[in-house]
Amino acid sequence: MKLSDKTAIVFGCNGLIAQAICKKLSKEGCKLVITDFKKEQADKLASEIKNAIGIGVNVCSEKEIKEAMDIAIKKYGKIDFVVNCSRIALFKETVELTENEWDIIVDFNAKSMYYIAKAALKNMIDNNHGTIIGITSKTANSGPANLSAYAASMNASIGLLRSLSCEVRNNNIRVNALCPGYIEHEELVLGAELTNNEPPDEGIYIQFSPLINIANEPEALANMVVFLASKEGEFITGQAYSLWDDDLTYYRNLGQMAEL
Amino acid sequence: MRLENKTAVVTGAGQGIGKGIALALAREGANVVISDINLNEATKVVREIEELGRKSLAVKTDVTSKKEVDDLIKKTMEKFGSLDIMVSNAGVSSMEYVIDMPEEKWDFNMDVNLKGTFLVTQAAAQQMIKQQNGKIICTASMAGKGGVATQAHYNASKHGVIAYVKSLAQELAPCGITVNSICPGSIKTSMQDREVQWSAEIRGAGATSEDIREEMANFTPLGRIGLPEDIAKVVVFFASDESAFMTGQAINVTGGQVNTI
Repeated sequence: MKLSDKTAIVFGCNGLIAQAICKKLSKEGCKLVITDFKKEQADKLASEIKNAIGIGVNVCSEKEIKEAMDIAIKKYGKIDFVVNCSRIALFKETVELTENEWDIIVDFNAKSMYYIAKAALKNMIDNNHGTIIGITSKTANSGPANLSAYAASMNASIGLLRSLSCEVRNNNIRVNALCPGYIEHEELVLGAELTNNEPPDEGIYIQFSPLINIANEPEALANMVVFLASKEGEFITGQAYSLWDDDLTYYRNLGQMAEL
Repeated sequence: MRLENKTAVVTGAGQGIGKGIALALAREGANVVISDINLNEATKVVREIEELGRKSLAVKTDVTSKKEVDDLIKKTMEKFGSLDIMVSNAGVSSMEYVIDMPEEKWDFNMDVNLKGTFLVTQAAAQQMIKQQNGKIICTASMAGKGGVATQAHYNASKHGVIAYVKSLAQELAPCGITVNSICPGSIKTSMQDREVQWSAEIRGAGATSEDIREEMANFTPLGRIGLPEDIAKVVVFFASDESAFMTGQAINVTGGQVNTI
């Protein structure tokens, strides 16, 4: 096992990607604190894996994030890895997007990363050790239609993480981002809920390339998280990785809603 | 002249890069609305535009206020009857390490630089869709492509602008509207003066503003700090027909610098 005696806190576990990450971390021996906007979601996942506890956390609240970190430190004594999987999405034309919708999406996706990083750093700097991984999106680079606030928030997170990696280089803390290539159903569901929009149909997600089988992606991203968290990734910081190269513009710009 | 009888609006045009852009657009024949949070500075630029023989108008705008942004477009339409070129340029910066960063600093950078871009370009797009043409240009930054310590909030906001522009470009392409961003490097402005001073203070050990400036120039392959005019030339290109087949791009104007210091 690559991560024995390590501890991680994962924010946002409603989607398949986060669930694959938590399961993989646990399989590698990592002890976990799992949080989600909905406590029952975090509890459910925590009950399915070894050495894990669940907490309800709204990532738009700095107070709740700090409390979650405190619980993790109290339970395990330290935080080795922080993985932020909290993402919400809303599929809407920019000219129709309201200021309130913009604020909710950008705060949930980007400001949360600032809160989480800031809260985690205190313990990591004391320990002179730590890894922060942000799950962002390939839209940060491609910028599809009808997802402008989402793309903006994801690239904002990457900008934050890149800068942060420069700040904490001498503290033996590494900071990286992963960029999934599709938007999960659960992101659209929570996005709709928080912005008071109609929920998407059952099984709807957003896909950017018909050439990729997204069913494989959660597992592949979980492998990347373990790689970045383990000793093998110890010379990697300030990077934003996706799993394949940019698609043909035609496919990339389609940003189509699809059924799972 | 490439922009005769066009109407342009430039936010943050009271000084620095925005002022340089406004004057360059006017020199190419455009009438230019000078939007700035500081009406006094905006009014001075209006006089310079009028001296060039173009029409102008000063509008006080806080780009984080939807009401004021909508009012800017309304006043532009009342005076000029069309909106051909929107330059979303207003921006702010500060320097803080994340570990010490007060939430207000995060909000200030994100609200002005990123949300301001959304509000300004959304209002402009609503008008340009009626016209079925238009040119939108956003000032992002070299910081939108890399990371630098003490500016995580600024970098986050500028990364956000670049991604936002790519999305908006896809949406507006069918309406004949192009959307591009420019990424200035080290440019001599009052924002840079402040940053240079902060850098010297953070660095300590007797470092002076002049040391930091010299370093910036040394880090730039073309060997000098840029001027607002350097940026303005590229904005004119994006405002003109010469860029007719370009949209969704983030163009570096950095003297060859590819990342932050």
